[in-house]
Amino acid sequence: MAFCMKKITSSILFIGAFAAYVFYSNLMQSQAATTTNTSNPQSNSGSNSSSTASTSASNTLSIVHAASKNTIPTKSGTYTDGTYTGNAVDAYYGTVQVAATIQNGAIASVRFVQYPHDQGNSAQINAHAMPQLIQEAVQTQSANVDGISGATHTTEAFKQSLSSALSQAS
Amino acid sequence: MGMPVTVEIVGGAQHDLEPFFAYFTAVDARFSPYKQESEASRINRKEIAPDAYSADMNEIIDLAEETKRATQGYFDVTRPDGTFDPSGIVKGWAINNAALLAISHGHANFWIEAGGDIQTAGTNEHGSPWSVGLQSPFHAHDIVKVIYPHGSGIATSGTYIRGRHIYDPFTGQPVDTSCVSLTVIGPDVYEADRFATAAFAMGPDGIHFIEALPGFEAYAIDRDGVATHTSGFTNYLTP
Repeated sequence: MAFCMKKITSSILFIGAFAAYVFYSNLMQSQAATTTNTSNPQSNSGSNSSSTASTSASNTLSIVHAASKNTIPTKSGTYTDGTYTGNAVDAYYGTVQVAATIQNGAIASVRFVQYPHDQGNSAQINAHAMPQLIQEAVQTQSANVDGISGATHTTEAFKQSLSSALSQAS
Repeated sequence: MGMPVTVEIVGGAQHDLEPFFAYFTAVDARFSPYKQESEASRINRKEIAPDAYSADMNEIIDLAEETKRATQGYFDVTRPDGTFDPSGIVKGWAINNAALLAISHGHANFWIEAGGDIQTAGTNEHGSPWSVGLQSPFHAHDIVKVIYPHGSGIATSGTYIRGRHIYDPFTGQPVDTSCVSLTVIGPDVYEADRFATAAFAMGPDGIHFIEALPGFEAYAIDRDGVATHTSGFTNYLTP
């Protein structure tokens, strides 16, 4: 993918977390999932970038540590500068892969290298329809989506991929 | 509170995200029932007199009252044990405010999300309409529907929320319903969130309530995997 500066279509992704649950407070003690695969280095295309700010001393809000038990340890100032591509992780809507850029020892940006791809659409079954309301069987879809709405939202795949990228920078 | 927040600004730079970071931090500090020193927690401990509530807190209380009236009492920020818990309205309110902030900063294409409730504007980084997958209540890794909100707000309520209950204010018990997930699409995410909360508390009547509400659509999934949706819901299935 050619590096392109002209078209300013970069997207910035900001992940923030309210570390309100007790287990979120163990941010610095948890261990990241270890990575055993060598990632494929990719050149910076510049056409799709995302960034997160590194965490501060606050224990009430962490950006890199999204709300989950599997937290990503960050060691401010102890990462080696460079860009590291994490594992491609299977998410519920496709494959997620991120690359983290370290500058001055800290996370400067995180960008999506892989994002889900579209394949399918839905089928509808009209069963006993209530007046004006329509019923159908719930069906799993393969889909290209920008994100998920649900009562239990998780960014697990993002975190796993980022964690594996940071492990390389440690 | 206590949820991941995602802000994506197409064509933006990292420093553009900072005001949103600051805003959601402030909202959490004020309203989180999990933070001992939040204004909400202090109110519950009777440490603040009503005439000393912040402007934002008063606004939320007023909006909650209005929502309670609009939902025949099914939306209620007072839990059965008397605790004040505005979470069912603060999330959508905060995302909506963040969206207004984005517009005021001149951003036309963005995605702002907290805890699975989403407000989008414009198009994504590829110039395509934003798409939202509805998470399966049965398998967290599955999507069961793809929605193109086209600028509308989306909120999902469900019984599979970890550690939270939606109460029937009239019985004081967790709502007795076979519905496990209710997604509401409304004019903005504030509207979608408050009515999703109320409609879920209505149990099986909730989907009818949304059908009758002009400008709102919904997709409800019951525990047997049967989905019911409002008559205009299919308008959101095309890019």
